[in-house]
Amino acid sequence: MDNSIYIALSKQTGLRRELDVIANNLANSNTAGYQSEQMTFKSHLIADVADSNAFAYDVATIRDYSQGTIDITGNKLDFAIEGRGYFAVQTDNGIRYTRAGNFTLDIDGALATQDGHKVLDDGGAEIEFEEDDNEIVIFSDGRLEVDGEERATLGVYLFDDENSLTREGSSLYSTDSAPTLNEGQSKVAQGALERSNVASIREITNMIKVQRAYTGNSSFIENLYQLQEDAVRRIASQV
Amino acid sequence: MRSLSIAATGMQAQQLNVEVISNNLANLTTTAYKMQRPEFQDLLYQEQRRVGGTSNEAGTIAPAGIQLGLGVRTGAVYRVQEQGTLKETGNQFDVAIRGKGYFVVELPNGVQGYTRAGAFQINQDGEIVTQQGNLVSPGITIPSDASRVNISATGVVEAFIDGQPDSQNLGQLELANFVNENGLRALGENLFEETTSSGDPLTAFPGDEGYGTILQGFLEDSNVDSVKEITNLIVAQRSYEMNSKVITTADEMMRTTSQLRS
Repeated sequence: MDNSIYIALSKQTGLRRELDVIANNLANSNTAGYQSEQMTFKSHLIADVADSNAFAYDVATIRDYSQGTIDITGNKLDFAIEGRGYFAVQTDNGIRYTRAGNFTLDIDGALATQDGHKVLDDGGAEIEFEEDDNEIVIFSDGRLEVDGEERATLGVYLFDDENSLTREGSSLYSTDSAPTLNEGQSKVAQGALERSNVASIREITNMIKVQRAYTGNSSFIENLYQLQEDAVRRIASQV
Repeated sequence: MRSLSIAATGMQAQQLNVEVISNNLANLTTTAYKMQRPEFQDLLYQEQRRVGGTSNEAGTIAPAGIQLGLGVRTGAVYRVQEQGTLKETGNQFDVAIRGKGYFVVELPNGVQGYTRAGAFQINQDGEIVTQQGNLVSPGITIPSDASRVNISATGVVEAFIDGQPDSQNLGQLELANFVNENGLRALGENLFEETTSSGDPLTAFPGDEGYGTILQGFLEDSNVDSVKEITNLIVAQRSYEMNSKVITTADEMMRTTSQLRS
């Protein structure tokens, strides 16, 4: 009988974590390039216990790779990727990937993120501009033209298994797997930003579901206690 | 419960978002004001189960791990460097910059300030100054008997004096440019100052390659798009509400727990 309480408890612990995931999605509903996450559960069977005791087990958080809404900002250094793929940036800890294309120029005139990480081109080199550069135009294949002359190609990197990307915060992802270069599968849009793909309505309904499940589990635990109490009382009265 | 603090970071971010939007709207008609935009980033992640870790004794590799995010933070609030619309004022000392560049202004503390707001005036000595009375570089003095002042597209200031057939060349306005305009620090009163991230100012004359041209009798309006600001405001308010909903839910779940065996 004790097991029942632990099973209910295992679900409750998971539900709390699920609420954390929902809270993070909603907190980042305005973060450029943010990809929402969802918790998946599976039943965890303990084989050596008679019959089937299925503990709830939060096995993974699954990232949603659907396209976020593209917001036209008019800022010529804002870039959005339509389709899959990531921009590569150089950090102190190595190359990191991001979908947040709200770039700026740094002190050297190089294209960089708001945190000052330099953005890399398709060959892994920095993209630099001169102070007398006027018109920066990017084509959908990532080719960057400055005042009519081709300067570089903004690198858009694709991964076979995007789940291998680990979140690092600050909209950056790190990975050990090697990317492939975009060959027309994805397009780059200038003057636009990809907003987060968090669907608020789904998060709110999930949140309600989590809360109801949590309350349900609590009353289940409550009932179990009642049951145990009754049992003890009945057994005692028969002695 | 992490959810409480995660939702709190979300609410803080949206509060800042509303603050930036309100400042943009307040400066809707400020000369040469550049609208600001906050950019948010996700915070650190806690690893519950590592990506690529094994999921059982047989060594099966888990395709995805559990990473719990800890909320959101403000990455930057930056200015959108888009040309504002030009509006005609007819005032001969109103000048607008079409294209890149800033007017150089000598501030009272000896440093140079930079502005795009070209609503200039004449001080008691006949010098071209800003609305606050700061000298506009390189310091042009208008003779007191000038009947009309002409400022060309390249910034050359000429005075026409009654009785004299030829105009008098008084000097040429300068423009400063920066490698990274967003690195400039706003001082208020439409002024900016250079920082290490903006890089050193590169001065040249208007119309030079990479620099804008001057338009006399016009002022650059702010580039705030009121429709965009209002829609952003709606989004900000709703996200704020939804984050507060998370706090209520987390609170109720904790109450459920604390009421067990009560």
